[in-house]
Amino acid sequence: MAGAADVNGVVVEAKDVAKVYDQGKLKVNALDGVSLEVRAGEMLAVMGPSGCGKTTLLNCLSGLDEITRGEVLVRGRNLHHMKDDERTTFRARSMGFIFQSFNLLPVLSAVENVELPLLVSGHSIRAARKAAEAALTEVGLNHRLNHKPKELSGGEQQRTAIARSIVNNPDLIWADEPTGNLDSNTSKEIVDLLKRLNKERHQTQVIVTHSEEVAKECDRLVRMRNGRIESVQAIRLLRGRHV
Amino acid sequence: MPLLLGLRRRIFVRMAARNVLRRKRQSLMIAAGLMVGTAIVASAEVAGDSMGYAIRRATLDAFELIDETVFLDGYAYYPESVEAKLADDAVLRSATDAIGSNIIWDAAVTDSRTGLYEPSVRLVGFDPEKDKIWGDFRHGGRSFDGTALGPNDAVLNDKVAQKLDARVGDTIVVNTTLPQDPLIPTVQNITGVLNVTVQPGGVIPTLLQDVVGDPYLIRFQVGESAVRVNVFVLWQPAPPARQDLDAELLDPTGRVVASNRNGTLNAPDIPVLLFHNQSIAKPLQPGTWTLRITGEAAARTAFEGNIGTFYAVYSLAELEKRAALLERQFGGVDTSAFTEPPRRTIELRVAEITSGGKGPNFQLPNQLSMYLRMDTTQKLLEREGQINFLKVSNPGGKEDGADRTDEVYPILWERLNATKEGETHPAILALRANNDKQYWLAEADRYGELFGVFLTFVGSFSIIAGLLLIVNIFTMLAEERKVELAMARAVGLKRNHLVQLFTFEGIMYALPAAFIGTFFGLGLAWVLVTGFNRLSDPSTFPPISFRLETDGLVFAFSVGILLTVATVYLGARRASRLNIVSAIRSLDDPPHLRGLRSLVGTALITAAGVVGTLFALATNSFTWQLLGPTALAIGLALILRRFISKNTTYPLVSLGLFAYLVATLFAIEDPQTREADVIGPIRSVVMTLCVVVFVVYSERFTRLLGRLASYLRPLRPVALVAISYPLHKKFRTGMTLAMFSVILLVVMLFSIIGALFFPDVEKESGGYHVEAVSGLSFATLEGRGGDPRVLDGVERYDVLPNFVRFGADLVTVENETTGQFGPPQNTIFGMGPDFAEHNGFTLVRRLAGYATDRDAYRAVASSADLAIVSYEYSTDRDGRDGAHVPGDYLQLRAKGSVKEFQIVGVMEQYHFRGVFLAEPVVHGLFPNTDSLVLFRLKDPADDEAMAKRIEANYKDLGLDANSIRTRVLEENESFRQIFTLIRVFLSLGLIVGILSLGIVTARSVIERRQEIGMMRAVGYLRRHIRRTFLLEMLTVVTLGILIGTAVAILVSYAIWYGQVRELRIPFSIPWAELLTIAGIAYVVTTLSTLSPIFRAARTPPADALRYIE
Ligand SMILES: Nc1ncnc2c1ncn2[C@@H]1O[C@H](COP(=O)(O)OP(=O)(O)OP(=O)(O)O)[C@@H](O)[C@H]1O
Ligand SMILES: [Mg+2]
Repeated sequence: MAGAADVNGVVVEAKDVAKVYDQGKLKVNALDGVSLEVRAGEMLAVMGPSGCGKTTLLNCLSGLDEITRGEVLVRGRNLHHMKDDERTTFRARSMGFIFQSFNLLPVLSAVENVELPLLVSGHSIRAARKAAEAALTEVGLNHRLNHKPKELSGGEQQRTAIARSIVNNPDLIWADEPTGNLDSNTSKEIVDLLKRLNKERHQTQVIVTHSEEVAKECDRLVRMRNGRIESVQAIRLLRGRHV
Repeated sequence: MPLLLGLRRRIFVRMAARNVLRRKRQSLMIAAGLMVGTAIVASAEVAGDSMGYAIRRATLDAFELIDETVFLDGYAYYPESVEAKLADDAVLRSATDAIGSNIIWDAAVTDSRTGLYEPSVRLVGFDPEKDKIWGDFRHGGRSFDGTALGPNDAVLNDKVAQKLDARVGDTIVVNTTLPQDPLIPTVQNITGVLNVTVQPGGVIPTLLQDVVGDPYLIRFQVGESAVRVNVFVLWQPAPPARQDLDAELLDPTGRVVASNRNGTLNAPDIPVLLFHNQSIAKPLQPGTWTLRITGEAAARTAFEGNIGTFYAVYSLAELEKRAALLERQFGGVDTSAFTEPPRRTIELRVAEITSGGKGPNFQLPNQLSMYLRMDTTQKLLEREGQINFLKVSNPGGKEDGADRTDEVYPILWERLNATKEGETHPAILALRANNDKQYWLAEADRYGELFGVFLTFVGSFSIIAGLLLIVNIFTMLAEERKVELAMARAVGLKRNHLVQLFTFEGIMYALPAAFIGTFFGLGLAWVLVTGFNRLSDPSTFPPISFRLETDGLVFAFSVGILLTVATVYLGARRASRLNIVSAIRSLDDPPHLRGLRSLVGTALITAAGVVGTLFALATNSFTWQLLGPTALAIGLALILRRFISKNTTYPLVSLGLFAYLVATLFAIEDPQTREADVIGPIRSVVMTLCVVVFVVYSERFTRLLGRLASYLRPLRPVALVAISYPLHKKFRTGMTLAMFSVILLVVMLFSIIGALFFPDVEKESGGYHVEAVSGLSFATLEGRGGDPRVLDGVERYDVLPNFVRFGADLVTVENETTGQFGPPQNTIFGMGPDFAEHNGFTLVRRLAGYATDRDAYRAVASSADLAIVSYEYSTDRDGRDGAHVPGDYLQLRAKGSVKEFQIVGVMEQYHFRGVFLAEPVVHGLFPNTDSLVLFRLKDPADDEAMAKRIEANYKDLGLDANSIRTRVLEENESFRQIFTLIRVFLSLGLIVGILSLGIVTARSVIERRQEIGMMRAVGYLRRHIRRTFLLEMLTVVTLGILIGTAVAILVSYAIWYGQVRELRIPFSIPWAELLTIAGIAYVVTTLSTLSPIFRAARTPPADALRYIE
């Protein structure tokens, strides 16, 4: 699927998406009519103050969460018209996720953690192991295959998580504050890794971040406030590969 | 104390209270866990009290107004003058309410109308007039005193009436042996050579006066109570014909009391027999008696013989003493020489039926009694003017009378001894007073207490499980509140404070839980008692009435609180040991701090272990042989883990300890002490824990299992996760597993052992339904009995002639006595070709060369030297199982010689205990045989009714017919009842186990929500999530079942090996039952965990990811 995205095509298209958290008396408008296009092959940064709805946006666009109103099309397919199983499988095939707290299973070794998406999508154990090792090698962790998350540094844990997100060769990566738990040096390494993947695999990446450092490495930047998109700006109009 | 402290630290109490209220579900669970403990103690107490009360009730009903009794062992008879003498005694009169008398005897009874027969009914003779003050008979709300009874009337108790289907007006035939006074001989050997003149030229008859010297005189002593003298003289070698000898018996006064002159020696090998007999009331004249032997006889004719002086012996101790003496002098007395006493028959009319009210009323288990007028009884038994039972009533009623026994009993003894003065009758001199009622009431209390202790013991496994549950929950609560607690510590709360906080919280659970638990226990006890009554056969055990004694409840309540607070305190200590930093960062606890304290602890445990082990080696103390090495192992593990990883240390040490404990199961004999009764079960629990530790710490091994499981396609994405998680949370998994395994251990253990005692009626009955025994010998029922149509309901029947011999000397296997349980007895059955062809008794062992059981039976039926034996004959003297196998030889001592038979098969059944030979062989060896008839019915459900019809129809053959099923179950009734109770009890423990798995799963689902979110994000479908948790739970359950069952099989085998085997019961595992239990455990635990598991799978991934506790 790598490189399958149309150049300059739209991978994700959100139309007037709203998300209301209904807590009985209290209703929280976490997303309040958001429309956004994510283009194939771009690195899109999402920034905004805490509580403005960044995570919610990411969850809604990736189909992890239901939406209250609007429409989300991923590669032309309406996520919210799919049944849960169908959507899950679709997600597993075409998307990868990276979280702020890594979310590795503490009981499994690095390579076992990376294997999970393959095993669940029906690959054989041997194929899964091979692909997982390859993914870990790609993120520079071939020497840490059998370490448990506890035995890895923060950066290594996040690399493992990244390996897990790419092991299925998805062309769309969702990252929610991938460097939020890391120091600035390590953050830099992670961003470099993401950039390399973006470039080499023509991956589309949506990265929620609080860090300007991270954001400035991206192609475009979406700024949010109170559940709405405040602005969308291009950080570099021209990227080498678009020419 | 904690409560006072609580007042001082109000803040903690408030915090604790808030926590209890905030976590309602957990609070309820904890309360439930605590309740189980209290409930078990409470119900054990109450059930024990009730059981004791039931025995008390039965005792009181048997004795009615009787408080003390005076009689002799075996109900020997004595003149009724004793009663008058005692009744006239002024001292006794003022100390007691009444003195009365009875005759107590046994008889066989047949109802002429129904034809039903009971071989043994207790016959009570009473004088209706004199007995008025001893209470009235009761029946169905009516009462009567029996004065209306005619000389040929009888009162049946309701049990006899039921057995005989008798009703008022029926004629019953009472057949009984005449009482014989107990005699035992003092035997004196005599030998000698008679000096006789020899004439030249051969043996010439001489006249009496020609005998040289004095007649040959033998003197012997006759003591006070001798009632008979027997003299037996045999000539050796036999004198030639026509030579006679005279023998005379002279009493101390020189009077010839018996003589045998000339004549007897016409047949030379007939010995001279002399005897002199006095009536029992009038003993022989004591002093020196003389045996005078004179007459014409050959020179140097030697004689030998003996003089037996028979004494009436009424005291059991004296009897035993004399029997032992005889045994030493003469190598035992051949009791078979004593002939059956004569019998008498009388026809009586059933005038009344009673259900009690008049004592003695021996209706305790299975006692059947009937009442006759005293004069009728005395005439029937030819004992006019004699009685054999005196009864004494203290001032006070049926129940409080016994309180005076301490006072009355010594007086009774003293006055009884005074009455003996001047008496010569040996029975009177031997009379004993008994404090029966007091004794039995004390026994009742003791049984009740024992039963309570037993139930508590059985329940203790459930209590342990309940406590493990509490510790588990507390640890989880602490983990859940880690951050909160760490904050509290960060702002200055000390560890002790945390412990206090937790303890207060625990006490908030403990008080209401113990309270509710006590009442819950009361309910449970009620269920137990009611269930027991419903299950038990009222003819073997009287119904238990529910009985409540406040002592027991207060005790249960206190124990409940104590247990709870102790557990809570321990749980709190564990919970408070958290590390602040890692708690705040929500990380796992760092490995244990190796502080001075733990070092000291390790050293202490190790030292205790070393000392204990050495002590065990030195003293062979059972307790220390188990505890010493256990402590040593723990100490060793604690030391080793400082150097080697836990994952290596723990499995190794636990495996070693396990192996050691298994070895002790077989190598060390359990002493029969209270101490061992406690330590034994603890060993089983420790063994279980060893396996649990082994499994939990053998990560490599377990993960390998996970890997293997993931080769199954549907499990591929979930197996590894599901296996790894329990390993990650070792304490929690260990606790849960331990609890589950321990409970299953006990459930399985009692199932296996229960099954050993639960006879399989199918196996025991060999496909037959009714058994009938008769003292007569016959080959067929054809032409017998009144109505041949009775056999219409019978598919087939087989008649087995059999010879029964009490004593162990008839049969040996490989010249060795086989295992004996109860009084030794051997039965030799004869089987015909039909029985061989049609019986369904399976063989547990069969000689090689016989392809089927049937082949073996056929071979025996047509052979003169082959045998099939019931299970007991495969054991040796010590009851060791399998000591003898098919192929071994069995020796049968009959007709003065030894015949050998090769054993070709060992039967599984032990209901028909004996040796099975070919029918002609049995007839050849034993001319007089009894008969056993086995009936296979067309309708097996009709067995009870058919048994009655068969018995009635063949009354001429004296058939006593019974349902085999009933007999087999009756034989095992008490075990059955107790095991039923235990099951009810153990099911409580299962509830705890299930609760706990539910909690652990719910907790696990909550803790791992973020991970669930991640898994959903990377493609896990809902069903994968469900599968993961289900598999995880099932892994724990399966491990628990496997560990519990495996240890249970081991332990039960050891118990069987050490103790049960002697009962000649084969070891077998009730797989079907074990599988059912496992199945129930699976289903119920699955059900209890389904709700959290489904909730986990349903959570939208976004919510799950966002979740913060
Ligand atoms: N499950 C929920 N129920 C109710 N309100 C919620 C829920 N999840 C999020 N919210 C609310 O929705 C709003 C948006 O939350 P969201 O997590 O998307 O913010 P964010 O921009 O990611 O913040 P941060 O930078 O702190 O991660 C917040 O006000 C939050 O309180
Ligand atoms: Mg966020």
